[in-house]
Amino acid sequence: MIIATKMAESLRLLGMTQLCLSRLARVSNVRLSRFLGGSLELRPDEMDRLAATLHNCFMIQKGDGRLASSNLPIDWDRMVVSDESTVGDVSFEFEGDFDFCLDRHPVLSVLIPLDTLKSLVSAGPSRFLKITQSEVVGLLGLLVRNPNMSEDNRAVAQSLLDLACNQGAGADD
Amino acid sequence: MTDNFAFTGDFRFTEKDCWLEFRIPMRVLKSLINGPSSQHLQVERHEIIGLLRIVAANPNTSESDLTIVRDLLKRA
Repeated sequence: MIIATKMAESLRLLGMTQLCLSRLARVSNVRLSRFLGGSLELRPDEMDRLAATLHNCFMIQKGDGRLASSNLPIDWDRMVVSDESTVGDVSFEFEGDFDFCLDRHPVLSVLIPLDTLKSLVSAGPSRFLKITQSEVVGLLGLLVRNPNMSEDNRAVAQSLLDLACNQGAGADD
Repeated sequence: MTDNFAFTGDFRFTEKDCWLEFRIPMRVLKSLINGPSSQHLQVERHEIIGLLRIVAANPNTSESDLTIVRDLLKRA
């Protein structure tokens, strides 16, 4: 929670929106929102990207490379921060998150590499993204084990996981 | 899955990838995990393209996101 508070303070000092930070740091805005609200612990790689992004932005804001007066605000929404550490694995392994609290429908967030998305929209009309049952059940298991998951989210995830466990044995029959 | 539902979602673009956030009716989610292991969620290409068009038409979409979305729509 202390880190989340410091991160919120950094956003205020930079004049940057949470949505912009989520874009620059490649972290789902839903997950970042829950982290800042204290109901979710982000993965180490996400924390690393957030810390690196904020560090880079502070360096840009205070650095000598700025051409104009340092008092001029930066339009972070137009900013692209290049960070070599965030460039690497481009394979499309399932990475996602559920939020059961936003409204009556669960929200599933899925991370998709842009190259994969480009291939999808360039391909024929019969193409689609496929998210398997095992990927969804695995994700629910991760959420239930997360000690920082909110009680509401955990309760729904657990009930769904129970449903999967109860039905799983005979489902393929 | 054969259980269709109205697709509503949003994109969060980053440098190399994006988060596709979409709503799933609870009945569909229960049907998915309650059924045979071959069950899956399927997001169709035309749904993705429709969502990209909505993002492109949204006046609040940032310039950097618009650049990505327009590039994707050109490929469609």
